[in-house]
Amino acid sequence: MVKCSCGKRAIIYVKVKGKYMCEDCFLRYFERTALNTIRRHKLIDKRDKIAVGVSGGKDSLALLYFLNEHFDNEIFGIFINEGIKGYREITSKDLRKYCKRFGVECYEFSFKEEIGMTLDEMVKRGRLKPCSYCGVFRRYLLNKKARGLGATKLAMAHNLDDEAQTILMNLFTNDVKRFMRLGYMTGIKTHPKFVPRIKPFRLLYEKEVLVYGLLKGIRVTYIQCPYAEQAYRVRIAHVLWKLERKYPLLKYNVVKVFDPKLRELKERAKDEELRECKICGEVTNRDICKACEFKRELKIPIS
Amino acid sequence: MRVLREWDKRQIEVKIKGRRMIRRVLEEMGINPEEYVIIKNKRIVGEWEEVKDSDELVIIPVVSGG
Repeated sequence: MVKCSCGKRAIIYVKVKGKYMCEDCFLRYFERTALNTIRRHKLIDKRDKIAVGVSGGKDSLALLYFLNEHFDNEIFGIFINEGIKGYREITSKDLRKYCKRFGVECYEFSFKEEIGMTLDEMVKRGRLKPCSYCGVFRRYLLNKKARGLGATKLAMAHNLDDEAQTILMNLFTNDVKRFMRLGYMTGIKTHPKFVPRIKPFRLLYEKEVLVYGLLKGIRVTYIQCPYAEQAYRVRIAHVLWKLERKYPLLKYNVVKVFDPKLRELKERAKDEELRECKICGEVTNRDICKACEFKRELKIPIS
Repeated sequence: MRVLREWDKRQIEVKIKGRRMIRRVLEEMGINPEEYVIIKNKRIVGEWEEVKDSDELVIIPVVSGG
């Protein structure tokens, strides 16, 4: 039997620590890592009102649970229903169940009502991949709704795997501007219309987030987005899984080696101006925001 | 041994003679243990644990959603 250093049966090997851990030691490690991330990078202030971007998946529910357990701040969930048939109906059911269990309020918004079209309809009409529309409109709505509900921080459940994938995706596509979305807290400049996004799980492996959730009684229905296979991210993720098996800590090293570079890039981009979209008034670094650009392309009336 | 694949809810039978390490069982099924969490007889276990024919395994993929 493989044992934890405390003598109990180990359930997981924590690569970052090079240690086998039992349930109790793992839970302590997990929560300490997330709390240290929050403290070290000043992600949460006592006065913050925190919106958590939730999907009904294991990661966002684990984050909602964790923040609600450890912070006295006002915390609520924001769920964006993109309108993906056969997928969101199931995850939203799990979401409602767990929000009720945690005693946390969750606000729901849909692409259909807010943008004027479901993602399924966009995919039929548009020429881009589903994830392009989904990502832009979801970010747009999350920021707008978080601000509208008075949130001062928007917590996202991005984990170490997500972050490593994003770094490599942006690197492979030479997309320096998108690097600004990375880091513990995104955004370079403050703007009254921009709600800073925080990532307390950024240094935790996705597998660790799943184990944490399971140990806390969060077991959601397994379901894959029907568009996931078309996503560039998923292809990168497959490669990383194989490499990580051969070279443990690979994803951690990708994130860690990139952090000083990210600070440099953010420093250099400090003068870049954040402005308001000439059409919708939402915050953007362009004249017309990406959401309005996509609406035009999809022939959705712009109000 | 009964194995439940969480992603397609399929239950499959895997014959185990004596005791075998979970890691080996998964690899023979073409599964990268890195990408899954294993539940043996309702408890989370490491891939280094051994199983016997009377055990029940549930294999949960780490990646779900989008």
